Amino acid sequence: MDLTLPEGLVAVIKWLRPLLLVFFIIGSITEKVMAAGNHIAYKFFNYGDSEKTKIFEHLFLYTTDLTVDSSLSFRYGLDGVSAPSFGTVTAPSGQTVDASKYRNSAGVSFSSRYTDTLQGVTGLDVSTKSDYSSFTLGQSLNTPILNEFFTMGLAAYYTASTITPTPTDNVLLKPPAGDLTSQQTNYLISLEHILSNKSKIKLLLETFNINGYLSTGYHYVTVSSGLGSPQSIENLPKSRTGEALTAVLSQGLTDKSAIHLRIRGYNDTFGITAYSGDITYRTYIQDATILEGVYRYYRQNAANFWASSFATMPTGYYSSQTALAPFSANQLGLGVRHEFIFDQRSINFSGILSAHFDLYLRNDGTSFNTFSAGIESDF
Amino acid sequence: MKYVLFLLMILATPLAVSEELNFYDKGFLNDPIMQLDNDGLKTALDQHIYKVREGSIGGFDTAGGSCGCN
Repeated sequence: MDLTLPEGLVAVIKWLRPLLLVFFIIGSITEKVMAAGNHIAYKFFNYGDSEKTKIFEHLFLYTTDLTVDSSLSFRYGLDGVSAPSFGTVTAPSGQTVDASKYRNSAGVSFSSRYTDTLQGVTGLDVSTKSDYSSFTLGQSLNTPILNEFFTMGLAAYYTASTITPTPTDNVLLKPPAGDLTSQQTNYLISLEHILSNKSKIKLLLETFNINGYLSTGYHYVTVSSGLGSPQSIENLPKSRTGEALTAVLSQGLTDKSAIHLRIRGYNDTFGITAYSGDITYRTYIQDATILEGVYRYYRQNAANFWASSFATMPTGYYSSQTALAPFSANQLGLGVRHEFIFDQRSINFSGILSAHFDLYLRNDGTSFNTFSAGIESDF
Repeated sequence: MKYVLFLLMILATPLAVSEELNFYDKGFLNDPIMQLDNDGLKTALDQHIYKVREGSIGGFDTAGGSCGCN
């Protein structure tokens, strides 16, 4: 009888063990000493696309109240990839693509109401896998301005990433040697205004700047007059700046239903201009059960240096990444959320069960679908 | 031009208030059906996918290190 645990399960147990101990200690102290509340959440996420890439992810979130006005959150994620292709391109013969099966990520954030009106979140996030690591440090603040129905949000994030591409014997597709680093800063300003007791509007402007090595080390280009096979790793600019402007209108239709309209415009120094619009409809189908339907449309033009293939070996910047191609896409989503209360044999807690399915169809024939399901509880 | 448009929208929103509101009127706005991104973990996962599959970045509210879900 084979009692060997699956590799994935062993990895989960290995990484969860110390985290669970930390959660238990903090939860015990805060619950007994400070009578604080605790919140746990688990989310499973599955992704599959028309290039036969499959990704799964497990996410765990634990939040505990430190004081009446502050809380501490820990997040741990484990994801796995099964990919005959990497990203959106087929792995060329002989190239060793990303062989990492698992990636670990963890985050910690501190949330506090600093004054009667000023709230903020400070967060640190770390992500690692065999050939990639990053950390993000961020701060966001929210405060009413003018009056209690007008809220302004400010946020800034800094992310540093390092890629160490897997070495390959293919000279043409050999990524640059050594660690490839990039630094990204994001700034956000948002304004939310309550228009009535059933409607609100939110405006958000985000700008970003990335410097360093912006490719993955694996995306390649094909020269049609060449051997008919991939002939070079893409060459992206070393800097990228862009901004996105978003407006969201949330409108209650009845006491049991609401609709959200969001439009977003974007442009950057790669030459990409993109627009998206989505509409979300939510309604109670029972006292504690919400049904959600989502439709999203997305359209972008190509990056200045993009081509599906090149007639001759390009100079300057060049890429064939499908993410930088011109395309439009339609997305449909359906979700359900159910709030429950468990109260039996002196054990009582409340929680939420949720599930969501999305189908994303590009006009070039490619597609992907995602499914997520989770449970969260306060105790 | 985009920034000018943004500022105009900001300036215009107070004019859109159609009625006097009291604090107790805001209860419905806190209902889960009125929170567009009411599931932080799912929102973070969605943005991971968009980041890989689409050529645009950002504009999805305050995701990133600050939420511990990058």
